[in-house]
Amino acid sequence: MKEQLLKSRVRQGSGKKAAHKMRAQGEIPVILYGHKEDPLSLAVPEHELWHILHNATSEHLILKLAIEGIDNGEVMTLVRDVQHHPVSGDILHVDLQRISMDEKIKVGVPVELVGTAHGVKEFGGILDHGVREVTVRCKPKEIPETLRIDVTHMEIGDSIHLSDLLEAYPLLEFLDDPHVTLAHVSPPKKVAAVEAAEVAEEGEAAEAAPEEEAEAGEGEES
Amino acid sequence: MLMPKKTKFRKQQRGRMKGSAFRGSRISFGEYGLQASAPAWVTNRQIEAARVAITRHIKRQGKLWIRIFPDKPVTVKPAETRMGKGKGAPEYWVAVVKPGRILFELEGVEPEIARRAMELASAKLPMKTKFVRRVATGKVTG
Repeated sequence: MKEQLLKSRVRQGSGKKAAHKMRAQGEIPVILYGHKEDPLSLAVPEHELWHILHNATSEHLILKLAIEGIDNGEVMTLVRDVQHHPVSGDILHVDLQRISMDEKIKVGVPVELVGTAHGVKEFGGILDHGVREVTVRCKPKEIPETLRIDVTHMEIGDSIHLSDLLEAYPLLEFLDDPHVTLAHVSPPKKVAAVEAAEVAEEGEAAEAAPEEEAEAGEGEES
Repeated sequence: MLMPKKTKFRKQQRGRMKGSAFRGSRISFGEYGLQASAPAWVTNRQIEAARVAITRHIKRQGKLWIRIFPDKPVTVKPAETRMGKGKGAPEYWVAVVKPGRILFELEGVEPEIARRAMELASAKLPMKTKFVRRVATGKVTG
Protein backbone atom coordinates (compact mmCIF):
# COMPACT_ATOMS: atom_id res chain seq x y z
CA MET A 1 0.00 0.00 0.00
CA LYS A 2 1.39 3.41 -0.99
CA GLU A 3 1.75 6.13 1.59
CA GLN A 4 0.42 9.57 0.71
CA LEU A 5 1.24 12.97 2.11
CA LEU A 6 -1.44 15.08 3.77
CA LYS A 7 -0.97 18.54 5.25
CA SER A 8 -2.70 19.43 8.51
CA ARG A 9 -2.73 22.03 11.24
CA VAL A 10 -3.53 21.94 14.95
CA ARG A 11 -7.08 23.16 15.57
CA GLN A 12 -8.11 25.17 18.59
CA GLY A 13 -11.85 24.81 19.01
CA SER A 14 -13.75 21.63 19.74
CA GLY A 15 -17.40 20.65 19.70
CA LYS A 16 -20.26 20.97 17.24
CA LYS A 17 -20.10 24.71 16.66
CA ALA A 18 -16.38 24.81 15.89
CA ALA A 19 -16.66 21.72 13.67
CA HIS A 20 -19.53 23.25 11.64
CA LYS A 21 -17.54 26.45 11.20
CA MET A 22 -14.48 24.51 10.09
CA ARG A 23 -16.44 22.48 7.52
CA ALA A 24 -17.95 25.69 6.14
CA GLN A 25 -14.39 26.99 5.61
CA GLY A 26 -13.39 23.85 3.66
CA GLU A 27 -11.58 21.94 6.39
CA ILE A 28 -12.30 18.59 8.00
CA PRO A 29 -11.82 17.93 11.74
CA VAL A 30 -9.40 15.08 12.40
CA ILE A 31 -8.27 13.33 15.57
CA LEU A 32 -4.80 11.78 15.79
CA TYR A 33 -4.15 9.21 18.52
CA GLY A 34 -2.12 6.14 19.42
CA HIS A 35 1.38 5.07 20.45
CA LYS A 36 0.70 6.12 24.08
CA GLU A 37 0.90 9.80 23.17
CA ASP A 38 -1.74 12.41 23.87
CA PRO A 39 -4.45 12.72 21.24
CA LEU A 40 -4.16 15.73 18.95
CA SER A 41 -7.08 17.61 17.37
CA LEU A 42 -6.21 18.60 13.80
CA ALA A 43 -7.78 20.09 10.71
CA VAL A 44 -7.05 19.02 7.13
CA PRO A 45 -8.10 20.58 3.80
CA GLU A 46 -11.27 18.90 2.58
CA HIS A 47 -10.28 19.02 -1.08
CA GLU A 48 -6.98 17.16 -0.55
CA LEU A 49 -8.50 14.55 1.72
CA TRP A 50 -11.39 13.97 -0.69
CA HIS A 51 -8.94 13.39 -3.56
CA ILE A 52 -6.92 10.89 -1.57
CA LEU A 53 -9.96 8.93 -0.41
CA HIS A 54 -11.75 9.11 -3.76
CA ASN A 55 -8.82 7.60 -5.65
CA ALA A 56 -8.23 4.82 -3.13
CA THR A 57 -9.63 1.29 -3.36
CA SER A 58 -10.53 1.35 0.31
CA GLU A 59 -10.45 3.89 3.09
CA HIS A 60 -7.81 1.95 5.04
CA LEU A 61 -4.91 4.12 3.96
CA ILE A 62 -1.48 4.96 5.25
CA LEU A 63 -0.95 8.72 5.34
CA LYS A 64 2.20 10.66 6.01
CA LEU A 65 0.80 13.53 8.01
CA ALA A 66 2.63 16.86 7.98
CA ILE A 67 1.54 18.89 10.99
CA GLU A 68 1.97 22.64 10.75
CA GLY A 69 3.57 24.29 13.77
CA ILE A 70 5.00 21.11 15.33
CA ASP A 71 8.74 20.43 15.27
CA ASN A 72 8.81 16.68 14.66
CA GLY A 73 6.76 17.34 11.53
CA GLU A 74 5.80 14.18 9.72
CA VAL A 75 3.89 11.35 11.39
CA MET A 76 2.98 7.99 9.85
CA THR A 77 -0.71 7.34 10.36
CA LEU A 78 -3.38 4.82 9.44
CA VAL A 79 -6.93 5.91 8.61
CA ARG A 80 -8.97 4.13 11.26
CA ASP A 81 -12.42 5.57 10.55
CA VAL A 82 -14.07 7.98 8.15
CA GLN A 83 -17.48 9.43 9.00
CA HIS A 84 -19.66 10.42 6.06
CA HIS A 85 -22.91 12.38 5.93
CA PRO A 86 -25.64 9.78 5.26
CA VAL A 87 -27.33 11.75 2.47
CA SER A 88 -24.73 13.97 0.84
CA GLY A 89 -21.80 11.60 1.41
CA ASP A 90 -19.57 14.50 2.53
CA ILE A 91 -16.69 13.63 4.83
CA LEU A 92 -17.55 14.75 8.38
CA HIS A 93 -14.66 13.50 10.50
CA VAL A 94 -11.60 11.25 10.25
CA ASP A 95 -9.79 9.16 12.87
CA LEU A 96 -6.05 8.70 12.34
CA GLN A 97 -3.85 6.35 14.35
CA ARG A 98 -0.10 6.81 14.75
CA ILE A 99 1.79 3.78 13.46
CA SER A 100 5.37 2.61 13.23
CA MET A 101 6.56 1.08 9.95
CA ASP A 102 8.35 -1.71 11.88
CA GLU A 103 5.41 -2.79 14.05
CA LYS A 104 2.69 -5.12 12.92
CA ILE A 105 -0.83 -3.66 12.92
CA LYS A 106 -4.33 -5.03 12.62
CA VAL A 107 -6.17 -3.82 9.56
CA GLY A 108 -9.24 -4.68 7.48
CA VAL A 109 -8.56 -5.46 3.81
CA PRO A 110 -11.39 -5.60 1.25
CA VAL A 111 -11.99 -8.80 -0.73
CA GLU A 112 -12.45 -8.40 -4.48
CA LEU A 113 -13.87 -11.15 -6.70
CA VAL A 114 -12.40 -11.06 -10.19
CA GLY A 115 -14.09 -12.45 -13.31
CA THR A 116 -17.36 -14.29 -13.93
CA ALA A 117 -17.71 -17.78 -12.51
CA HIS A 118 -18.14 -20.61 -15.04
CA GLY A 119 -21.18 -21.85 -13.11
CA VAL A 120 -22.79 -18.43 -13.42
CA LYS A 121 -21.96 -17.91 -17.10
CA GLU A 122 -22.94 -21.36 -18.38
CA PHE A 123 -25.54 -22.66 -15.92
CA GLY A 124 -27.13 -19.50 -14.50
CA GLY A 125 -25.88 -19.97 -10.95
CA ILE A 126 -25.76 -17.12 -8.44
CA LEU A 127 -22.40 -15.92 -7.13
CA ASP A 128 -22.73 -15.08 -3.43
CA HIS A 129 -20.14 -12.68 -2.08
CA GLY A 130 -19.51 -13.84 1.47
CA VAL A 131 -17.33 -11.77 3.80
CA ARG A 132 -16.28 -8.56 2.06
CA GLU A 133 -13.53 -7.56 4.43
CA VAL A 134 -10.91 -9.67 6.16
CA THR A 135 -8.91 -8.66 9.22
CA VAL A 136 -5.16 -9.19 8.87
CA ARG A 137 -2.07 -8.45 10.94
CA CYS A 138 1.06 -7.33 9.10
CA LYS A 139 3.58 -4.53 8.74
CA PRO A 140 2.19 -1.36 7.18
CA LYS A 141 4.29 -1.80 4.02
CA GLU A 142 2.84 -5.26 3.46
CA ILE A 143 -0.84 -4.29 3.53
CA PRO A 144 -2.39 -5.17 0.14
CA GLU A 145 -4.92 -2.75 -1.33
CA THR A 146 -7.36 -5.63 -1.95
CA LEU A 147 -7.35 -9.41 -1.72
CA ARG A 148 -8.10 -10.37 -5.32
CA ILE A 149 -9.73 -13.76 -5.84
CA ASP A 150 -10.15 -15.25 -9.30
CA VAL A 151 -13.60 -16.89 -9.49
CA THR A 152 -13.65 -17.83 -13.20
CA HIS A 153 -13.08 -21.55 -12.50
CA MET A 154 -15.93 -21.83 -9.96
CA GLU A 155 -18.77 -24.26 -10.76
CA ILE A 156 -22.19 -24.49 -9.09
CA GLY A 157 -21.75 -25.55 -5.47
CA ASP A 158 -18.10 -24.45 -5.26
CA SER A 159 -16.92 -22.26 -2.39
CA ILE A 160 -13.78 -20.32 -1.62
CA HIS A 161 -12.84 -20.04 2.04
CA LEU A 162 -10.36 -17.82 3.81
CA SER A 163 -8.07 -20.85 4.25
CA ASP A 164 -7.66 -20.96 0.45
CA LEU A 165 -5.90 -17.58 0.55
CA LEU A 166 -3.18 -18.55 3.01
CA GLU A 167 -0.76 -19.68 0.29
CA ALA A 168 -1.33 -16.67 -1.93
CA TYR A 169 -0.53 -14.19 0.87
CA PRO A 170 2.26 -15.68 3.00
CA LEU A 171 3.20 -12.35 4.62
CA LEU A 172 -0.26 -11.76 6.04
CA GLU A 173 -1.52 -13.21 9.29
CA PHE A 174 -5.27 -13.74 8.91
CA LEU A 175 -7.15 -13.15 12.15
CA ASP A 176 -10.63 -14.27 11.04
CA ASP A 177 -11.93 -17.83 11.17
CA PRO A 178 -10.24 -19.76 8.29
CA HIS A 179 -13.55 -21.50 7.49
CA VAL A 180 -15.31 -18.26 6.71
CA THR A 181 -16.76 -18.24 3.16
CA LEU A 182 -15.57 -15.54 0.75
CA ALA A 183 -17.41 -16.67 -2.38
CA HIS A 184 -19.98 -19.36 -3.19
CA VAL A 185 -21.88 -20.24 -6.37
CA SER A 186 -25.40 -21.36 -5.54
CA PRO A 187 -27.68 -23.15 -8.04
CA PRO A 188 -30.32 -21.16 -9.96
CA LYS A 189 -33.89 -21.16 -8.68
CA LYS A 190 -35.97 -24.03 -10.15
CA VAL A 191 -38.36 -23.03 -12.94
CA ALA A 192 -41.35 -24.87 -11.42
CA ALA A 193 -40.89 -23.13 -8.08
CA VAL A 194 -40.61 -19.75 -9.78
CA GLU A 195 -43.80 -20.34 -11.80
CA ALA A 196 -45.69 -21.39 -8.67
CA ALA A 197 -44.51 -18.24 -6.91
CA GLU A 198 -45.67 -16.14 -9.88
CA VAL A 199 -49.13 -17.73 -9.87
CA ALA A 200 -49.41 -17.09 -6.13
CA GLU A 201 -48.31 -13.47 -6.67
CA GLU A 202 -50.94 -12.91 -9.36
CA GLY A 203 -53.61 -14.57 -7.18
CA GLU A 204 -52.77 -12.19 -4.35
CA ALA A 205 -52.88 -9.25 -6.73
CA ALA A 206 -56.34 -10.27 -7.98
CA GLU A 207 -57.65 -10.56 -4.41
CA ALA A 208 -56.24 -7.17 -3.50
CA ALA A 209 -57.50 -5.50 -6.71
CA PRO A 210 -60.88 -4.19 -5.41
CA GLU A 211 -59.14 -2.54 -2.46
CA GLU A 212 -56.41 -1.14 -4.69
CA GLU A 213 -58.85 0.54 -7.04
CA ALA A 214 -59.62 3.13 -4.42
CA GLU A 215 -55.93 3.86 -4.02
CA ALA A 216 -55.03 3.55 -7.71
CA GLY A 217 -54.90 7.29 -8.33
CA GLU A 218 -52.58 7.81 -5.44
CA GLY A 219 -50.36 4.87 -6.49
CA GLU A 220 -49.97 6.13 -10.05
CA GLU A 221 -48.93 9.56 -8.90
CA SER A 222 -46.10 8.15 -6.78
CA MET B 1 -47.24 -8.35 2.51
CA LEU B 2 -44.89 -7.34 5.29
CA MET B 3 -46.39 -6.64 8.73
CA PRO B 4 -45.53 -7.50 12.33
CA LYS B 5 -46.73 -10.87 13.64
CA LYS B 6 -47.90 -9.31 16.87
CA THR B 7 -47.59 -5.94 18.56
CA LYS B 8 -47.81 -4.73 22.14
CA PHE B 9 -50.25 -1.95 21.24
CA ARG B 10 -52.74 -1.77 18.34
CA LYS B 11 -52.48 1.96 17.61
CA GLN B 12 -49.60 4.47 17.57
CA GLN B 13 -49.24 8.22 17.53
CA ARG B 14 -47.99 9.70 14.27
CA GLY B 15 -44.60 11.07 15.41
CA ARG B 16 -42.14 13.29 13.51
CA MET B 17 -39.56 12.57 10.83
CA LYS B 18 -36.80 15.03 11.75
CA GLY B 19 -33.19 14.66 10.67
CA SER B 20 -31.35 12.00 8.71
CA ALA B 21 -31.03 8.23 9.11
CA PHE B 22 -27.53 7.63 10.41
CA ARG B 23 -28.32 3.98 11.11
CA GLY B 24 -29.01 1.80 8.08
CA SER B 25 -27.46 4.36 5.75
CA ARG B 26 -24.66 2.16 4.41
CA ILE B 27 -24.83 -0.81 2.08
CA SER B 28 -24.33 -3.83 4.32
CA PHE B 29 -25.19 -6.92 2.29
CA GLY B 30 -25.24 -6.37 -1.47
CA GLU B 31 -23.32 -4.45 -4.11
CA TYR B 32 -25.95 -1.88 -5.12
CA GLY B 33 -28.58 -0.04 -3.11
CA LEU B 34 -31.52 2.32 -3.28
CA GLN B 35 -31.18 5.18 -0.81
CA ALA B 36 -33.98 7.51 0.30
CA SER B 37 -33.34 11.23 -0.39
CA ALA B 38 -36.39 12.52 1.52
CA PRO B 39 -38.43 11.48 4.56
CA ALA B 40 -41.61 9.45 4.02
CA TRP B 41 -43.95 6.79 5.31
CA VAL B 42 -43.56 3.76 3.02
CA THR B 43 -46.56 1.43 3.15
CA ASN B 44 -46.26 -2.34 3.03
CA ARG B 45 -47.99 -2.30 -0.37
CA GLN B 46 -45.43 0.09 -1.78
CA ILE B 47 -42.59 -2.10 -0.46
CA GLU B 48 -44.21 -5.15 -2.06
CA ALA B 49 -44.75 -3.35 -5.38
CA ALA B 50 -41.11 -2.23 -5.42
CA ARG B 51 -39.93 -5.75 -4.57
CA VAL B 52 -41.99 -7.27 -7.40
CA ALA B 53 -40.67 -4.63 -9.84
CA ILE B 54 -37.07 -5.46 -8.92
CA THR B 55 -37.43 -9.25 -9.00
CA ARG B 56 -39.22 -9.14 -12.39
CA HIS B 57 -36.53 -6.95 -13.91
CA ILE B 58 -33.59 -8.98 -12.64
CA LYS B 59 -35.40 -12.13 -13.86
CA ARG B 60 -34.71 -13.89 -10.58
CA GLN B 61 -30.96 -13.67 -10.94
CA GLY B 62 -28.97 -12.20 -8.12
CA LYS B 63 -30.10 -11.58 -4.57
CA LEU B 64 -32.34 -8.92 -3.06
CA TRP B 65 -32.46 -7.55 0.47
CA ILE B 66 -35.28 -5.40 1.86
CA ARG B 67 -33.77 -3.12 4.50
CA ILE B 68 -36.97 -1.54 5.84
CA PHE B 69 -39.89 -3.09 7.71
CA PRO B 70 -43.38 -1.60 8.10
CA ASP B 71 -43.86 -1.77 11.87
CA LYS B 72 -46.02 1.33 12.40
CA PRO B 73 -49.81 0.93 12.24
CA VAL B 74 -51.78 3.76 10.58
CA THR B 75 -55.39 4.30 11.59
CA VAL B 76 -58.11 5.82 9.42
CA LYS B 77 -61.56 7.10 10.46
CA PRO B 78 -64.44 5.95 8.25
CA ALA B 79 -65.71 8.40 5.60
CA GLU B 80 -68.40 10.90 6.59
CA THR B 81 -67.87 10.40 10.29
CA ARG B 82 -68.13 13.26 12.77
CA MET B 83 -65.00 14.12 14.72
CA GLY B 84 -64.56 12.57 18.14
CA LYS B 85 -65.67 9.12 19.30
CA GLY B 86 -62.06 7.98 19.56
CA LYS B 87 -59.24 7.05 17.21
CA GLY B 88 -60.00 5.21 13.95
CA ALA B 89 -59.30 1.57 13.17
CA PRO B 90 -55.83 0.35 12.10
CA GLU B 91 -55.89 0.31 8.30
CA TYR B 92 -52.38 -0.41 7.04
CA TRP B 93 -48.69 -0.56 8.07
CA VAL B 94 -45.86 1.81 7.22
CA ALA B 95 -42.09 1.99 7.59
CA VAL B 96 -40.85 5.38 8.75
CA VAL B 97 -38.02 6.32 6.40
CA LYS B 98 -35.63 9.22 6.88
CA PRO B 99 -33.24 10.63 4.25
CA GLY B 100 -30.15 8.45 3.86
CA ARG B 101 -31.85 5.16 4.67
CA ILE B 102 -30.98 2.23 2.39
CA LEU B 103 -34.28 0.71 1.25
CA PHE B 104 -33.21 -2.19 -0.97
CA GLU B 105 -29.93 -3.91 -1.75
CA LEU B 106 -29.02 -6.03 -4.75
CA GLU B 107 -26.17 -8.39 -5.61
CA GLY B 108 -25.18 -10.71 -8.45
CA VAL B 109 -26.44 -8.67 -11.41
CA GLU B 110 -24.83 -6.31 -13.92
CA PRO B 111 -24.67 -2.64 -12.88
CA GLU B 112 -26.99 -1.48 -15.69
CA ILE B 113 -29.61 -4.07 -14.76
CA ALA B 114 -29.34 -3.12 -11.09
CA ARG B 115 -29.70 0.58 -11.91
CA ARG B 116 -32.80 0.00 -14.06
CA ALA B 117 -34.34 -2.34 -11.47
CA MET B 118 -33.87 0.31 -8.79
CA GLU B 119 -35.40 2.96 -11.08
CA LEU B 120 -38.48 0.78 -11.52
CA ALA B 121 -38.67 0.25 -7.75
CA SER B 122 -38.26 3.97 -7.15
CA ALA B 123 -41.36 4.64 -9.25
CA LYS B 124 -43.41 2.67 -6.71
CA LEU B 125 -42.18 4.67 -3.73
CA PRO B 126 -43.51 7.93 -2.32
CA MET B 127 -40.22 9.87 -2.16
CA LYS B 128 -37.14 10.71 -4.22
CA THR B 129 -34.39 8.12 -4.10
CA LYS B 130 -30.81 7.67 -5.21
CA PHE B 131 -28.98 4.65 -6.70
CA VAL B 132 -25.84 3.92 -4.68
CA ARG B 133 -22.95 1.47 -4.96
CA ARG B 134 -20.86 -0.15 -2.26
CA VAL B 135 -17.62 1.52 -1.25
CA ALA B 136 -15.02 -0.28 0.82
CA THR B 137 -15.37 1.95 3.85
CA GLY B 138 -15.83 -0.61 6.60
CA LYS B 139 -14.30 0.24 9.92
CA VAL B 140 -10.89 -1.19 10.67
CA THR B 141 -11.00 -3.63 13.52
CA GLY B 142 -8.68 -3.91 16.51
